[in-house]
Amino acid sequence: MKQYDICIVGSGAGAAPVAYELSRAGYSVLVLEKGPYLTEKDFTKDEIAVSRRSIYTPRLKDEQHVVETYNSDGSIDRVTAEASGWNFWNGSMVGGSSNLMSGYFHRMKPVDFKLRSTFGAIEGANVVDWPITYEEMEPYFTKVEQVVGVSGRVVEHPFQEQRSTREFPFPPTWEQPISGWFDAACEALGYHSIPTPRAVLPHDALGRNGCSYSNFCGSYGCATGAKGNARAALLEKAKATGRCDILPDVFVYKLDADRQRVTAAHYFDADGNSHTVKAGTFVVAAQAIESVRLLFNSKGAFHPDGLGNANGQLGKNLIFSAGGSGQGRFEFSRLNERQRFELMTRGAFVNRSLQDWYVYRREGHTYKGGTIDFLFEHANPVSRAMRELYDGDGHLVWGSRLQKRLEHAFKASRVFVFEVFNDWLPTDNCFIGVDEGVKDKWGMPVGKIRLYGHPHDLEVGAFLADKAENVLRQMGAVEIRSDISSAPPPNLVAGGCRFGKDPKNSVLDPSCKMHGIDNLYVSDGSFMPTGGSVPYTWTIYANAFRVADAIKAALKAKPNRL
Amino acid sequence: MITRRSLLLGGAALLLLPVESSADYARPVTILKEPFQTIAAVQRDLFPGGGTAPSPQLIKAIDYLAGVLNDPYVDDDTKRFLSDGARWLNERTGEDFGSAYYRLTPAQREEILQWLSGTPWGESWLWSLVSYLFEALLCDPVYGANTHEAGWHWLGHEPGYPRPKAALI
Ligand SMILES: Cc1cc2nc3c(=O)[nH]c(=O)nc-3n(C[C@H](O)[C@H](O)[C@H](O)COP(=O)(O)OP(=O)(O)OC[C@H]3O[C@@H](n4cnc5c(N)ncnc54)[C@H](O)[C@@H]3O)c2cc1C
Ligand code: SF4
Repeated sequence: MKQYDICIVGSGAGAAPVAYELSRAGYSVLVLEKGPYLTEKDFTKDEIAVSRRSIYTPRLKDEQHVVETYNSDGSIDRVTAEASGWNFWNGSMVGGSSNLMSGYFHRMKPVDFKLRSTFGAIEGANVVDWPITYEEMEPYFTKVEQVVGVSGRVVEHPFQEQRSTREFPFPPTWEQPISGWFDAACEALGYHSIPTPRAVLPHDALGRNGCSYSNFCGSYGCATGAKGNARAALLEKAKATGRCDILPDVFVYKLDADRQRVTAAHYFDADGNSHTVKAGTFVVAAQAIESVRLLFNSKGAFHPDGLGNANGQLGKNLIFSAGGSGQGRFEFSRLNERQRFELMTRGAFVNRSLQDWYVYRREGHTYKGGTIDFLFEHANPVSRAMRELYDGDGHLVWGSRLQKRLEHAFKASRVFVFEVFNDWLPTDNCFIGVDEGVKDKWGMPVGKIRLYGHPHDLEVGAFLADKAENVLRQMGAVEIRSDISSAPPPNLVAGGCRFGKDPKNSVLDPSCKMHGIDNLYVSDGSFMPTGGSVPYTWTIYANAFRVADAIKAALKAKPNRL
Repeated sequence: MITRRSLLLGGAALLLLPVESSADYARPVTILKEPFQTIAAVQRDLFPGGGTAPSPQLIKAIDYLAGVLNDPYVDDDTKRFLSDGARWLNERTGEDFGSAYYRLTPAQREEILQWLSGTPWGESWLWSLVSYLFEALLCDPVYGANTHEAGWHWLGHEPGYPRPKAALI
């Protein structure tokens, strides 16, 4: 059996930087990924396969989750995902869900690292400061810009975070003319329009092709390599060192551990045969829910309640991105010919955000606010058509009325949308476990997700949505509305193995090594105690580069013992 | 039954096949057989076509729906509901008008659609029918529907590139 220095479970944003750094540093690395190895040539803009049937995620019949929610009387409702269709899977393939992301990249801000000491306690929430500072993470944010490739333009605004470089390494991608309308509206309102940084290359660079502006980006795999997904940006380069093996279609179901060390990983191959891997260091990066599930399923004589669960912290403090979305419609009948032409320009990105209320004061109280991203509604035609199925009074429409609505939606108007990102407060009521009563196709207990959104999150989200609506109104949109709710976005998930100095209330130490275990690191989004009011992936990438440095330092101090 | 693995592994190989070979997602069905006769009639009422809009026949909406009933990615409950809904609808039209939906007059059909859309199951059934009809209208023609890209032309929709060379389902 080949033995590796490092064995990584998962191959997404949390895994790839570790594979990249360690293989380049001369170590032998094995990446175990449950999904297939798909590359640029496999990705097409097939709405039926990708968005309507979700071929990149497991069938719920084979692999699922159990979802628990609170009823208004405090009792708990439990449904299996197979029965409810509630899907918490993201991309299962080499590169993970980073293949499917839209690539909205924002850095977390210094204040995100010290929420508890800045804003104090919030009742019912487990808010803590991070055990590291923005200053410690900054070099890694910069590294992601350069290695994964982030395009953008730095502008001054009240919450612009400190940077060690003046500009992004890549200029912004081609921008939609409506970005200019947006800037003008913000200026009139006294808001600060920010060009949204994107993990998308505007031109050929880093050994990858530039963006082809396919107009179908988020949820779709990238056929050029421009999107900074973990495979194109990092794993292919790790593989090229000759020291990184990537095994697709293998499901890791258990880690063995003695008191202080993980000794082996067990996986099923696609034919259901079980195999064992030995390595000096293990890294778990299967995305928050699945990483926690694997650690629970790895209980053994030395860790009877699950690996990393000596203090009952495993799976606790699951978080999502709180907020929601909103929209407004631009009617051609209200525009002149040039504006219509500009509005219908296809393929370019809007690339605009607002962070004016990252921290705000209201009625004598200081709140942690968030980020608002602006974009056009997704180009997927079936989902655009489905929006026209109900009239303004909520009645189903059919016949020639329905046809007219479709014609109007596609040919005489365009919908502009926004997404609000604010903190989902960690609480005792939102966590991950396993459900021993429901097994996946391999016979392993599935992950159980208990959901709860703190009311504070809704208040902040609604405040931000109001501001976003102001911009749409100023731009001349009509039918403006927003939907802020505590429904969790399954693709923006973190927590469950939070890092901290004190093992009593954390699972990982500040370098993301499991407390009490010498050779196990967790490097996906599950380390995050709070999420920052931004989408998570830039932070996950940056932290995984930081974890890679910690592993290198540990290996230097004490070479691998197999 | 196609497994997820064989499907995804097969994905790469499928790309080499000629386009026509995958058009059998929307295999022609015998329209006189239930539930297709009823569903085809409801489809015509929900989306009659006309003007510049393609008809359900042109976009092969009923054949596409037959593909949905065979689709390994659509769960069995949904498939059962699509068929059962047609049966329940005809039970109701039998009670009210003494015949199946597709034999009713346009006014009677409109009346029954109004009733149907006001019931929870009926609304949900109509919603499902329309969503699959919209798929037939706007999918890539590799799925055997949206014939001559008629739906895209009608709505001025430009597809994303690269387009699929074969249906992945
Ligand atoms: C449609 C979409 C849009 C998004 N847009 C954005 C955006 O604009 N900006 C942003 O910042 N983020 C975005 N995201 C989120 C982003 O993709 C995730 O935050 C990020 O990829 C998470 O990284 P991860 O390493 O935690 O998990 P993933 O990248 O999901 O990687 C986990 C991998 O582990 C594998 N795995 C799971 N269990 C096992 C096991 N037991 N054995 C072996 N392998 C296993 C999975 O198959 C998967 O490939 C988006 C996500 C989606 C789906
Ligand atoms: S080519 Fe550009 S627009 Fe298309 S998927 Fe890749 S990054 Fe997105």
